[in-house]
Amino acid sequence: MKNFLNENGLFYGFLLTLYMIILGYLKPQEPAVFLLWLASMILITIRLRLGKSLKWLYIDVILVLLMSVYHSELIMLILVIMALLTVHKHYTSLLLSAVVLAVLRPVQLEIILIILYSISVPLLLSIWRDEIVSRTKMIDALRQKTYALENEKESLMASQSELSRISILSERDRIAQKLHDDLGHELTASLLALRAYETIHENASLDERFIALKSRIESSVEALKILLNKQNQMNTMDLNALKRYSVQSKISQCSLPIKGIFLR
Amino acid sequence: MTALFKLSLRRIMKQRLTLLLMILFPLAVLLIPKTDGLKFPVVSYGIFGLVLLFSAFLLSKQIIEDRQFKTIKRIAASPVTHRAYLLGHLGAYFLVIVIQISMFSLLAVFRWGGGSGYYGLAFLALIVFGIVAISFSLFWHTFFKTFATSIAIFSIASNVMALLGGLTYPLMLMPESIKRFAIVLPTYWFAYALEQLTLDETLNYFFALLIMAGFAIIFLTIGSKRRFD
Repeated sequence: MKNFLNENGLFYGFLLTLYMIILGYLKPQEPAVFLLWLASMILITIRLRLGKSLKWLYIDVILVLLMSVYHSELIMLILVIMALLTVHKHYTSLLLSAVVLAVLRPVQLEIILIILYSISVPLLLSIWRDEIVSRTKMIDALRQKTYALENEKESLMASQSELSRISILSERDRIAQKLHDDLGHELTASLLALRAYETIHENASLDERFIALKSRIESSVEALKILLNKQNQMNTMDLNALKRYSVQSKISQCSLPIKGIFLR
Repeated sequence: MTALFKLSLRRIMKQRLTLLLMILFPLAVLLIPKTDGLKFPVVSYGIFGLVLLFSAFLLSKQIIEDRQFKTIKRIAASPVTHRAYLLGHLGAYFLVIVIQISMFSLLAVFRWGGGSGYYGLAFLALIVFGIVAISFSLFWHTFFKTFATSIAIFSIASNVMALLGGLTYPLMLMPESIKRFAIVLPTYWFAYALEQLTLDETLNYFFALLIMAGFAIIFLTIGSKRRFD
C-alpha cells in the first residue's frame, strides 16, 4: 500500500473522489446515465494507464458535450478534464473548459465549491510534483558533482604518489652520485695511495696494521661498488638482469627459468 | 500464449481444494428454494455470484504468488511478454469459470424449472459477471504483496460488496439511501441485471451488462500493470 502513497497515487485517489462527487451530484435514476458516467471513467483510466493524459483530450470534451445533450448534468464530467489540464498546467484550455461549463451549467455555490476542489487539489499536486522533480534534479547534480570530485581526488592522489616516487628516486640518484663522486673517489684515492706505499716500501706488506688497513679500505671500496650497483639495478633491471641477479645473489639465490619469446 | 494457457490450466488442476470448493458451493446454492412470487430464483443466482467472486479470487492466486515468490521476474527475463502472460492466465481462469457457470446453469434449469429464456439471459449475466470477478481479482491483487493479506481483506470486502450490492437478498428490498452508494459496486449491477430479468425489462438488463463490462475494463486496465514487488 505504501507504494501508492506518491503524487500519482494521490492524483488517482483525487480523480476517484471527484468522480464520486460528480456521481453523487448526478443521482442517476436510470442505468444509461450511470453507463455514460462510467464511460468517461473508462476513458480517463485508459488515458492514465497508457500515460497519455492530454493526447486528443478534445475528443473527451466533445464526448462530454454529447453526453450533456442526453443528460444536462453530465456536463459536470468536464471537471475531470479540467483537473487533468490543471495538473499538466494547460491554463488556456482550462479557462476555455471553465467557460464552457459556466455557459452550459448555471453557477451555484456547490458547483463553485466542486470546481474549486477539482482545480486546487491538482494544482497542489502539480506544485508538489514539480518540487519532487526539481529536488531529484538537484540530488542528481550533487551526486554527479560528488563523483567528479572523487575522480579528481583519485587522480590527484595518483599524481601525488607518482611525484613522491619520482622525488624518492631522484633523491636516491643524488645520494648515489654523491657517494660515487665524493666517498668513492676518496676511498679509491686512499687505496691507490696505500698500493703506491706498498710498492715503494717492500716491507710494508709485513706490517699487520698496514695489511689490516688496506684490507678494510678494499672491502669499503667493494661495499660501495655493490651499493652503487644495487641502486642502478633498482631503476633499470630487465628480465635477463633479474635472472642474473637471482642466480648470482649471495643473499637469496634462486632459479628463474624464462620461457617463450619476449619483446622480439 | 497457448503454452502459458496450458501451464495455467495445469496449475489450476493442482489447486484441488479450490476445484472441490468450486463444485461444492454451487451445489449448495442449488439447495436454496425459489422465493415465492418471483419468476426466477434471483437470490440463488445472487449467491452464486458471490461464489463466482470467491472462485475467481482463488483461481487468480497464481498471479499474486508469482509476484510474491519472484517468479514474475524470471518470466520477465524470458522471451514472454506480459500481455501473453496475462492473456494465458486470464484465459485459463475464464475457461474454468465458464465451466462452473455452465454446470450451475444446467443444474439450475433442472432444479427450478421455468422459462428457458430467463436461464439463457441469466447465463449471459453470469458470464459477464464472471469476467468482472476475474478482472476484479486481478485488480485487487495489485494492492497487496502476499496472498495471505489479500485474501484476509478480500473475505471481508467481498461480503460487504455482496451485502451492499444486493446479492444475498432481492434488490427491491434494498433501501433507496443504500442504493445511492451501492451503484458504484459491480455486484449491484449483477443483482440489478437479475432483477430486471424478473421484471422483463430487457433494455435495462443489457444496460446492466454493459455497465458490468465497463467495470471489467476499468479493473483490467488498472490490474494489468506489471508489478514486481
